[in-house]
Amino acid sequence: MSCMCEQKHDVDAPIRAHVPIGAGAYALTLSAPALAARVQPGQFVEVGLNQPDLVLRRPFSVFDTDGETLTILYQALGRGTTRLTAFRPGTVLRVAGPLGRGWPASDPGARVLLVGGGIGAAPLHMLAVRLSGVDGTQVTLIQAARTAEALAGCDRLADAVDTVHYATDDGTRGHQGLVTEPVAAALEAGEYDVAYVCGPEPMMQAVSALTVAAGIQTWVSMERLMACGVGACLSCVLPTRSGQVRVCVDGPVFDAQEVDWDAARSSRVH
Amino acid sequence: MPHAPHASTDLSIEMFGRQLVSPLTVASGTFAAGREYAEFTDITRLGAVTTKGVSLTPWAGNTGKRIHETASGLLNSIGLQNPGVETFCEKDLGWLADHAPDLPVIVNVSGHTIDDYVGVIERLEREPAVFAYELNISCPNVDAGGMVFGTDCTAAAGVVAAARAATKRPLIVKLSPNVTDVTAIARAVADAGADAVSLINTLLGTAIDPLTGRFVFDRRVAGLSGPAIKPVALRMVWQCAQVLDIPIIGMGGVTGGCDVVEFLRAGATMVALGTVNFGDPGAVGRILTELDELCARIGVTHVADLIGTAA
Ligand SMILES: Cc1cc2nc3c(=O)[nH]c(=O)nc-3n(C[C@H](O)[C@H](O)[C@H](O)COP(=O)(O)OP(=O)(O)OC[C@H]3O[C@@H](n4cnc5c(N)ncnc54)[C@H](O)[C@@H]3O)c2cc1C
Ligand SMILES: Cc1cc2nc3c(=O)[nH]c(=O)nc-3n(C[C@H](O)[C@H](O)[C@H](O)COP(=O)(O)O)c2cc1C
Ligand code: FES
Repeated sequence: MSCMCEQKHDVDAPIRAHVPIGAGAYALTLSAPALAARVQPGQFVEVGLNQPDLVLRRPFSVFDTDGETLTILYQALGRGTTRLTAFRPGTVLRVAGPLGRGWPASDPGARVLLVGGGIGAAPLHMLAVRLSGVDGTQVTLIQAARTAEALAGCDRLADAVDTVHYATDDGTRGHQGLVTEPVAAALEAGEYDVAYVCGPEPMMQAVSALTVAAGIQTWVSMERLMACGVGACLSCVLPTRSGQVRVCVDGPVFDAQEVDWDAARSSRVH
Repeated sequence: MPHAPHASTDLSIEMFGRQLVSPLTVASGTFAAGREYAEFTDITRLGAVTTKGVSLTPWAGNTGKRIHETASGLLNSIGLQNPGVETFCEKDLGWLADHAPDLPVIVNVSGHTIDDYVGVIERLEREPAVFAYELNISCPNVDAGGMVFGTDCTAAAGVVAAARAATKRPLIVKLSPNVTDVTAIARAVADAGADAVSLINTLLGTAIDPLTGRFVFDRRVAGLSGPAIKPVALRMVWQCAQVLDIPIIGMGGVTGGCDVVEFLRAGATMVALGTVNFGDPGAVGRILTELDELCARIGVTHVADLIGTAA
C-alpha cells in the first residue's frame, strides 16, 4: 500500500558520474536528492532515456546512495542501455522513484546469506551496507558471474560483507560452475536465518529451492517487463500462491515460497 | 525570445451537456483508475478519467509476455485482466470518491457476450459517480467478444442497442482501427444509439524473436499503440468527423500539446493520453501546459474553437 511516507517523485536527474566497470557493465550516478533521501534497499527507479523512439523508461535497482545521489549498475544489452553508455556527465535524465517494495529487514543478530548472479547482485549492495551497521549480524555473500571480470563490478558489495565466496562459469575466480554448488556447501557448513537472492530467474529458483529446503526464510527479487512501473498497466504480473501480483508495486521482492515458479516461466524476461 | 505573457486559454469544453475542465482524458488501460498516477500529476485537471476495462466477473488476462517495445510504439497483450465490476466499484470508484469527487468518471466496459456488457452497466447504474460508459468492442487481445463485435456493423449495432436499453447515461463506443472502413462501423453504432465514439483502439500487430523464431506473445498477435500509430488514428478521427454528428474522443500516439491540437482540428472534442503516460508519468500536467501555450500562439482564447478546423 502506498502512503505519504513512501511518496514517489519524478525528477530531472543530471548524470554526475558514468564509468565502465568491465564486462559491458557501467556504474551510473545521478543527482536526485528527493529520491535518494527515501530509497530503501531493493527498491528501483524508472529511468527515461530521452529517446523519442523508445516509448518506455527502463527499470534499474538502486545499487548505492549517499543521500543525495543514486548509483545504478547496468549491463549494456539492448537498444536503450547501449545508447545510454554514450551519455556524459551533465546530461539530464528523467527518473521516477523510489519504486516497489524492497528487501524486508532481518532480525538483529541474524545469520544472513546473500546470493547474487551477475548484474543481479546490484540490489544486494544497499542491503549489505545496511546490515553491516547492525551489531551481531553475520553476512555471507555468494556471488556468481560468467567471468572474474564480470565479478569485479561488484567488489564494493564484497567489501560490505563478512565472508565472500565466488563462482564463475569459466573458473577465472572461485568455484567453477553453478552457484548452487557453493550455496549447497555453505548450507552444509553453517546455519543461516535468512537468504536474499537476486539474479537470473532459473538461478533464483534453483538457489531458493535449496535455502527453502534448509528451512531458511528466502527473499527473491523478480524481473518482469514493465510499461508503467507504478502499478497501472498490468504488464508485469507474476503468478504467486495468492494469485497474480504486480512486480512493480507488490514486489520486486517476494517470499520465494510465494512465487509460482512453474507458472512464472512463460513470462520470464530471459 | 520568451513568449509574451498571455491570459491563459479557456481549456474547458462541453461534453454530453456538462462543462469539463479540459478536453483531456486518458486512454483506458494505461492509467488504471487514476490512483497510481495521482502521485505524479494532478488528475483533477483531466476533463474526465477513463478507467481500465471492467467486466462482469474477474478476468485473469493473458499468459506469457504482455508487452514488447517497438520503434516508436508498444505492443501489448494484457488481455483485459481486471477484478470484475464488484471489486471495481468498491476499490476504484471508492478511491475516486474519496480523492477526486468532482472528477467525471468514464468507465470502460468489456464483455465476451452482449449479456456481459449489459450486466456490467446494470451494476454501475447504482453508482452515482459514473459520468459515461465507454463500450470496448475493439480489444484485439481477447477471443470471444472484444474486437469480434467491433469489426462487424451488425454485431456492433447489436451490443450498442442492448447497452442503450440498459442506461440513459452517455454511451461512448470505442472503435477498432482493424477494419477496412471505420466510418461504416461509426455510422452503425451512432444509428444504434451511441452518444459518442472514441478511437482508435490498438492496431493488430505481432513480433517474432529473430533468433528462436518464436512469437513473442502467447496469443501470437497483440495491440500496437504509441506515436507509431498517430497518423492512422488522426486519419480515422477525421474520417469519422466527416460522417458523424456526435462527439469524438480521439486517441492514438499523443505525446504532446501539438498532437492534441491536431486531433481537435481533425474533429475530436476530447483527446485521450495513453502510452505517453508510461514514458512520462507527469504527462497530463505537461501536455495541458503545452496546449495552453499553443492556443496562445495560435491565437484562440477557447480551446473548443479548434474543433474541426483542419482545412
Ligand atoms: C525491478 C527491476 C530492476 C532491474 N535492475 C537492474 C539493474 O540493477 N541492472 C541492470 O543492468 N538491469 C536491471 N534490470 C533489467 C533492465 O531493466 C533491463 O536490462 C533494461 O531495461 C534493458 O533495456 P534495453 O533498452 O537495453 O533493452 P531492450 O531489449 O531494447 O528493451 C526493450 C524493452 O524490454 C525491457 N527489458 C529488456 N530486458 C529486460 C529485463 N531484463 N528486465 C526488465 N525489462 C527488460 C526494457 O525495459 C524495454 O521496455 C532490472 C529490471 C527490473 C524489472
Ligand atoms: C497497456 C495497454 C492496455 C490497454 N487496455 C485497454 C482497455 O482495457 N480497454 C480499452 O478500451 N483499450 C485499452 N487499451 C487501448 C488504449 O486505450 C488506446 O486506445 C490505445 O493504446 C491508443 O492510444 P495510445 O497510442 O495513446 O496509447 C490499452 C492500451 C495499452 C497500451
Ligand atoms: S509495470 Fe505497469 S503495473 Fe507493473
